[in-house]
Amino acid sequence: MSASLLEAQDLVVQFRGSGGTVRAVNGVSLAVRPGETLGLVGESGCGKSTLGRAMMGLTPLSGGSLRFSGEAVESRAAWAALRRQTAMIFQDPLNSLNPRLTIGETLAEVLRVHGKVPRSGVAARVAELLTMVGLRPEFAARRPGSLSGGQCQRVGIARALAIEPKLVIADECVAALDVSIQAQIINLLIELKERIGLALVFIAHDLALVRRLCDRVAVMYLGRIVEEGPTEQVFGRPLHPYADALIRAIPEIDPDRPLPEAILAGEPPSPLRLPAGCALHPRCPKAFAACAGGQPPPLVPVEDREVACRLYRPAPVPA
Amino acid sequence: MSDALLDVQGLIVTSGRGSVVEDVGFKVAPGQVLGLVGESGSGKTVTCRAVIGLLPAGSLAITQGSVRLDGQELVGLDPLAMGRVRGRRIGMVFQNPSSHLDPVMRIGDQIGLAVRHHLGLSRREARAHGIELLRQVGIPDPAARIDNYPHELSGGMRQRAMIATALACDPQLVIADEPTTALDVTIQAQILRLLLDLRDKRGLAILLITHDLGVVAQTCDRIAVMYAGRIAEQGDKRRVLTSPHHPYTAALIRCQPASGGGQGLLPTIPGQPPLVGAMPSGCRFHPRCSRVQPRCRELVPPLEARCDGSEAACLYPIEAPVLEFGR
Repeated sequence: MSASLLEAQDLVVQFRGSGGTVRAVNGVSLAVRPGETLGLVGESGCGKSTLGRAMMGLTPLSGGSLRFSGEAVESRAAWAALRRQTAMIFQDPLNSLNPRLTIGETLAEVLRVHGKVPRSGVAARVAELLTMVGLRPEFAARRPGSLSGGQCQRVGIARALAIEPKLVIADECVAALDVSIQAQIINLLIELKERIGLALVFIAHDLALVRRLCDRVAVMYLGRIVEEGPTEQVFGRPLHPYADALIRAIPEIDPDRPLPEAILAGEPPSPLRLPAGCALHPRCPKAFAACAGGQPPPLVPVEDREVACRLYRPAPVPA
Repeated sequence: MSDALLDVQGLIVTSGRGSVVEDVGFKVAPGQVLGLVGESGSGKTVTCRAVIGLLPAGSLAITQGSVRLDGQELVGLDPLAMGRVRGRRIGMVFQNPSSHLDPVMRIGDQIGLAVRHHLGLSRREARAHGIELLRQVGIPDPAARIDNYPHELSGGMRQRAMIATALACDPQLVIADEPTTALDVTIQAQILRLLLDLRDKRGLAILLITHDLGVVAQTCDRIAVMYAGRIAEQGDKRRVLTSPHHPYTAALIRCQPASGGGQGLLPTIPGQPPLVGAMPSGCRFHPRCSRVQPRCRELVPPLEARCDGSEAACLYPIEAPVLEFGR
């Protein structure tokens, strides 16, 4: 996959605490292609946010490597190049904006620091960015406090777009919004994706949204990717028992569909004391003896996707 | 439904800037789950706080209406008498168990406090009762867990512990305000299943407040949809979800993506919900409504019964079934 925009190889991020070391991201390899939307899903604590931050260098890596546009990201200059071309949209739209700056000042600051437009062109570019995210240019004079949650999130998106990024990482960017506003923001992302060919990593726990927006999806459990593949295929027929449980647990607005019986028993174990073998085996309905020991199963190609589960044998490599 | 356990009628709650809840009425029968649905600021949490008499003093107050529990009027009850209803006959489950459980008190003591106060049990009886409750809400090894502090439990277990405290005095009604919003989907299904099992075993009435229509579809018997402090539509779950009469209900259902897939843009509701103190005249939904007519700007639509038993507050309700399921 030489065409990848951002490629992560065996990323490891660990945090040391009083109780021991937590590997929040435990050997993750992942690639984002230009113009592609990749969904990163999993339950809280599975490491999806940490992985998103690590891919932008916002969290120091404990291991593994990144390649951006084919170049290894190692030197300071390479990191700087990565950060000049990637942007992040955060979960809480209000807290991620400076309350003392007007919206116009917030956007102008980014333009000035990155030297994207000459000084004389800043005001026009700010107006253009606001229009792009569906806000009137007059919003430039307002402060975040006088905006609604949905409007603040639009500003957050405008700020991300200000650097003309090749890749945007959106971390739960609609989780704090009401359903009717959520749909507006998702539509905005779909439009931007089509219009400017933005590559997007969409981190979310809402699987229905991911299915609507993303081309590919990666399901994480306790720091590892357990299944990764084209969205329609993974949602239509999840292979990994965890991905299957997660997808079946989506509450659906269908009055005839009863509450699903508990699919996974119990709760995720503490990341400080991961079980041996496959991390899911104590909860997995399909676990057999081999699952409980040895190394965690590696991510192997199965059919049209990659799965990390002992139930599946790797597909034969075409000669 | 003359046998309603909880009967709320014409409830108006006002703040200094205007009414937050306006003319809200609904009933919950024993063994029934009513889902109160709405976006943030629609007044659903204020409504439930008004029912249990926990409105923040000084800023919000009930100015009209009645709340009856098993025939007894709760509005205007003195705080002491209200205290005997709350916790004893009405149990409460909140969104965030970590902030509603005392962090420096063992789980068993929190349950014990309620049963010793309301039921007059001894310390030893309260402990036995607490272990039994923890067992009922599915906490493994309850005899050991009862001596844990809240921080020693996981999120899902904390929510189970809070449900145990809500059930401690064998209430008739449980009010659950976004009980699963802070939990992961696989844990959410477990907690909802637990609430339904308890309903079946104890004949509890449950008032479930949520913004998630998916949760409502899987758990409730009836639904009341709130918008800007008013009830827009209420009725049997199946009817409301499959053939909504109010344009707001229909739009809310449509703008949530189905897990079954679908491509392209989502239908949206333009604009945003109004703020207290700046409510539009007439129907409060009219500035965002796709079916708006001139009369909607002037007349406040009353909540009227439709032929299928639902009630909708709309001058030009949708009549034909518009939504299809079974994708």
